[in-house]
Amino acid sequence: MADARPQLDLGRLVPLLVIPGVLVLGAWSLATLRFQTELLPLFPPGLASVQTLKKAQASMISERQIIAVAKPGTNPGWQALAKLADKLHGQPGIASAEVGMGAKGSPAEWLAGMIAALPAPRFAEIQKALTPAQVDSRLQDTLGSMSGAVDENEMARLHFDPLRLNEIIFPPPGVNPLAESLSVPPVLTIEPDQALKTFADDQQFVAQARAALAAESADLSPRPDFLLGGQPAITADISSHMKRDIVIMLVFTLTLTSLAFWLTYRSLMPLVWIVVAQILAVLSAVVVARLVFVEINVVSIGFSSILIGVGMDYCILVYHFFAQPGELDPHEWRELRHAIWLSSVTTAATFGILFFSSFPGLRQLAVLVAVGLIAMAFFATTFLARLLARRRPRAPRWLMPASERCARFLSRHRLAFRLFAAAVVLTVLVFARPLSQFGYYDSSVEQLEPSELEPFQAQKLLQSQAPEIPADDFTGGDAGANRRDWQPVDVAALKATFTLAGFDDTWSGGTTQVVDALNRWHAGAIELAGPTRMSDAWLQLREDLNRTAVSDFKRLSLVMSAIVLGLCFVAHRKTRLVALNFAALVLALMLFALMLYVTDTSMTLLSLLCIPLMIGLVIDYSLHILLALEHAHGDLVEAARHLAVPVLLTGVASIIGFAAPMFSSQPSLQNFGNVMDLGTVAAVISGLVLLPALYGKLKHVHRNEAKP
Amino acid sequence: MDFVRVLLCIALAVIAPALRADPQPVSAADLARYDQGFSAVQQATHSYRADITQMLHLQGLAKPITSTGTLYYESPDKLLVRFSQPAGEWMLVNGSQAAIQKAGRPIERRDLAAQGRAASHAASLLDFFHADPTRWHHDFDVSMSRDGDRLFVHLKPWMTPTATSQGVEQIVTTLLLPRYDIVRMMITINAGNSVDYQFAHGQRNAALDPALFTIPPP
Repeated sequence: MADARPQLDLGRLVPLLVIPGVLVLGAWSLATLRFQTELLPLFPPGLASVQTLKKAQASMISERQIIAVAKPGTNPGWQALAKLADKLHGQPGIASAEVGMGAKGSPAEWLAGMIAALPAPRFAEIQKALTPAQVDSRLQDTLGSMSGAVDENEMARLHFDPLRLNEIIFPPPGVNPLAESLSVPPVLTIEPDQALKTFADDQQFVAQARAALAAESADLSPRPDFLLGGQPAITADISSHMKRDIVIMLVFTLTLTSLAFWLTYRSLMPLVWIVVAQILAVLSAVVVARLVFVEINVVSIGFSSILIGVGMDYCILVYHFFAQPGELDPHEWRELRHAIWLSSVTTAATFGILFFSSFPGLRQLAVLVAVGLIAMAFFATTFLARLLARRRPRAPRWLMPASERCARFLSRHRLAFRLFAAAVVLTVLVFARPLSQFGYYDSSVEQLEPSELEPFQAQKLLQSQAPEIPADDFTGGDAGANRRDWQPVDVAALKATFTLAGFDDTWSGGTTQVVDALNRWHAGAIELAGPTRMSDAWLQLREDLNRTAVSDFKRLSLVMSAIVLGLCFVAHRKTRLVALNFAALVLALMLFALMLYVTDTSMTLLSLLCIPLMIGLVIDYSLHILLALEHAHGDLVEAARHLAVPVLLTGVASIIGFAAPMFSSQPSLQNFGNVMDLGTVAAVISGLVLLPALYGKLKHVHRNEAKP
Repeated sequence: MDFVRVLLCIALAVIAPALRADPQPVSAADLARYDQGFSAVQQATHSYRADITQMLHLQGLAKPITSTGTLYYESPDKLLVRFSQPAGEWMLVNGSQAAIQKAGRPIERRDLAAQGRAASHAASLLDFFHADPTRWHHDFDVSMSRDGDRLFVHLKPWMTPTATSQGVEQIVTTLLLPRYDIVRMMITINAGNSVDYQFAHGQRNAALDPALFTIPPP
């Protein structure tokens, strides 16, 4: 017998075609997607400060080498580390090891770089000091200065720079950074014996280097306690923490959202389907990330919790629809599907706008979250809906009465809730001054770094050991003019002068390397000069990022508002309802600002994206509530029957989802989770509690009114 | 005839060093006896003063760098080397503090407790003067050889160096028997780099001005 009832449109064929594709491509993407562990690629590459930092970082950190920095008080000195370096040579995984200052390249290149940027008069002095007569005279002085009191540090400095060129760069009295630099605690740079292609390669190399250092330094006194830095150590450490973070965040989110779902609906199998739908959505986002970016930054892993948190919303709405008793109304299903798609498109669009941000990190997140949300809406309304339609779940008996009781309470006390909304607005207006002066955005980039991790500690120690470089010596010189004016020095003749004065190649080596570097620089073969003042660049970066973020925010928030407005019009086609959407949004933003102020929480570059996400959430909740209220002709009790529990559960799931990053080892993700939870609470209060109270045509409910 | 004489001279010049008697290793029993004897002398020495010649042999330099001066020691933890050539330079250790004055440079101070004793060359010298043979055996693998009235004490750091022996490859001290007067001390820092001290006019328990060992305030 033919079924005359209208059928639910559950997208029959599409999921069957899409799911295998997502699984195959997802597996391929997970296997081949590279994770970026550096901070700088997150920032706009065109900023001068970012370019400076990249150059400076390139001079500090090698792509391949591990830098072993002994903790203060445990450094056994140059000679002991030189011996240790010899012993490390050929150990498993280690091609070679060198003792140095920790900068990439030799001290000679560092010195040459300083000379290249000298003010013209001192640059000319350097040139003069390299004439044969001056060389001989200076070498005799050096012999004289090595007599008398034995100072091994001084001997090491003179062995490297017997012409004492550093004294021309920084004439005494005053600081002598090079002299200091040559007496800085030395570090070891360790080169791997193979290409480091995967996280596992980096982790293995770091483990091998650590083991070799421990074994070979056992007989040194003081026994060095090394911190391992450099790119392989950063990658190895972050990748292992990242793995842990991902596992903790996913397990945390899945467990708690599942627990919240099970406690509400007491339904197990649909929960498994929901989890599968979420995994499919996350995989879809990963596939797009692989195709668009090839590599994504570790901070983008936060997207998975956003997806699970927000995506649970769609799944719960679908589940709740199929769990209602009696026949299913295809019209209602169409409306729900329409609302889910509108909601996902709105949230995806608000996130998608971030694709036009100047920050590559935000562009990655925009694509990941937008694609993931749309995929989640797709799998919730097709894959999950088909399974739930086949095996209809049942909501617990207490659920509907509880929803109705809440709705009645809200309806009865609508005045109180309206007063609360007015109080929020009033509080913001009264405290406008302190609120406007609060630092909602912290432009410091340091907190984006997982600074407690060993490689970053090593890097900080390395930087703290480096001598302070007076600004004048770098800003005063014209490297371009110096490059032109440099008179190439005959390296062979220079070496011969050293030999005649009684100094062999080990003594002339440093100077000839400096001269060779300057000669090649003059010939255009290498770059020596350029901004190397990392600390200034960091300060500049802070200003640049602040400026860019504010400019982006102004530029994109207008477009974002226009898109949200447009989509709300598409959904409601009534100005009154769109205005209510926006009222909920403004209230949520005010609540959010108040909560940030009260909890003294500032947003970072990453947690700034909580704002579009919160806009998405508020629009999502308000869209569903307003559509349901319109459908029920202002009967909140009727609307709540369909929406109160799912939307509330959604809010709880979102809060759980966003709390997950707080347990990661990345400070940026911790702050993100913290801020996003505040944003979600604001969205739930505004969308679920205050908005119905503001709905003008709300049907009046009497205290003793019976259930319909 | 002249040719034969020249040939003989050359042969003698080549063979003579080989014919010279090598210092003979000291037996274990003698070593204990010398330990005891030197220990007694050291314990009885509360201060010491001697003229020194310092020859710095540095790897890669054609000639050693020679300096002269006076060494002052006061038991248990003070030592000063004041140079007359080059004038105005000195190196001093007093307890856990050390300082170096190089000509034309500010005084450089070092905290041996924090930086280790290897941070000061003077501290290495002090350790030798202060330590008795028991201490030597703790810090070094000690061996002795003797050539006539000269006793050569060879100190080599154990496999795991102690704070005292860290940074030193070998110390060879020449003592003049029977009074155990210090004649020479050669400290090898590492291969090719060594400091050779020759002592003259050594005076044990000489009256020293305590102000000698005061590190000038910064």
